[in-house]
Amino acid sequence: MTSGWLKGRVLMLLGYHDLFSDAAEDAIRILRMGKRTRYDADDLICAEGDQADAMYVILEGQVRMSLTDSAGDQHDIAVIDGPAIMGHVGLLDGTRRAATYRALVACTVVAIPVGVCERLLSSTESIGTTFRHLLISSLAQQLSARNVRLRAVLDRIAADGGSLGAAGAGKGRKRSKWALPEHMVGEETEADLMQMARVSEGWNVDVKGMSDVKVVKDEAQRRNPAGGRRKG
Amino acid sequence: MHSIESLAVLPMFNGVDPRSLQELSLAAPLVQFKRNAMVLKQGDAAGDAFLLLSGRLRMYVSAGGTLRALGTVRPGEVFGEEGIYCRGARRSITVVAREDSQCLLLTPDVLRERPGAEALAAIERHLLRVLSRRIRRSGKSMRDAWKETRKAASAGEEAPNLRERLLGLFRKGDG
Repeated sequence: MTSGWLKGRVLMLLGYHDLFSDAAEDAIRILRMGKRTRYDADDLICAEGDQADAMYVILEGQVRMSLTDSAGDQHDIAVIDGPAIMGHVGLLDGTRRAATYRALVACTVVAIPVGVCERLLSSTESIGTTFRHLLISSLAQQLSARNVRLRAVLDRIAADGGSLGAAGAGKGRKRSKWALPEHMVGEETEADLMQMARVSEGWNVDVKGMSDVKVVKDEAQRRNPAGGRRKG
Repeated sequence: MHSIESLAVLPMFNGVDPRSLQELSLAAPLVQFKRNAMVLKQGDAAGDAFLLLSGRLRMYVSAGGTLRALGTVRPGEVFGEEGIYCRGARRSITVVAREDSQCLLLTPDVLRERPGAEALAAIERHLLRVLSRRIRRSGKSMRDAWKETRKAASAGEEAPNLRERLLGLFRKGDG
């Protein structure tokens, strides 16, 4: 990993955010405080339910994010293209991982441990300011994107008559007030919910090409897929 | 009450050097709003964030053909942060003063030049906690709704009441 290559990746990452200073040198210093790992395709980076002990910066490659449904089936909901930040919400609020992250293709990821993050969060030096601004920018953009998406869906529901009168029509079943009309329930609504879940996690991304991803039910296989190995 | 005194009593500034609070209060503009004055209007261009020092504000959002009251902003709360951290952002909520109120204006210049760096770092940590909680909460709500919808669809049952649930995602402070 040459300095020139790293700086190029950092400038791409910072390009997604409005920071107030020449933050590239600070960002490079932050990345050098973490542990860099090369993952092969399908390698597990962190699993839903794990304690959040680090945040991650994808320097290159793609990571897929998946959720487990109520039947225990895992569904891929997003692909994150590097460079990008991920796994920082759990670290900030001290909760467990809300999703599973796995390499889609070979990728390089820097894990910044919780202890380093805590030091940076407290620092009044420029490196601490850059770190905080990067995280705030990422979170504020996630919320803003979610709200835009949410409004669009609600506006569509309202336009389609998702109100008491329209919802009253049905197949003889008693429907609750404000229930969605029949035609709104199904694939389209599910797609909306998935899209908003993605946005809420920060990844408003195109998932075309994800249809061939296998559903993995076996927990052991899910955590340690055959053939997956890490290179230090 | 002067802004330095208003700042010193806020929990987020516990342990922060009073000189840092003084520097911030001297550098950041203080803005005052009379009762019923509009502080932010949904859809307007966003440029600054606010820290409420005294008074009370009410937040509203228009979505899905409904104007919804989100809640009250109380002293010590930061709002309008998209104005600083989201490129080209528009205000996502309307904020109206419920009583005479005063705010510290957090402008890009203040955040860039760092007067009262320790106090600003405390505000930023506070904002990170608030934003991560909002994202966690909304993410969980969406995942739960998705799981319920899938479950209902596979069982051939009536789907969950999504509209109210989605509207419920616009909660206090989600700006």
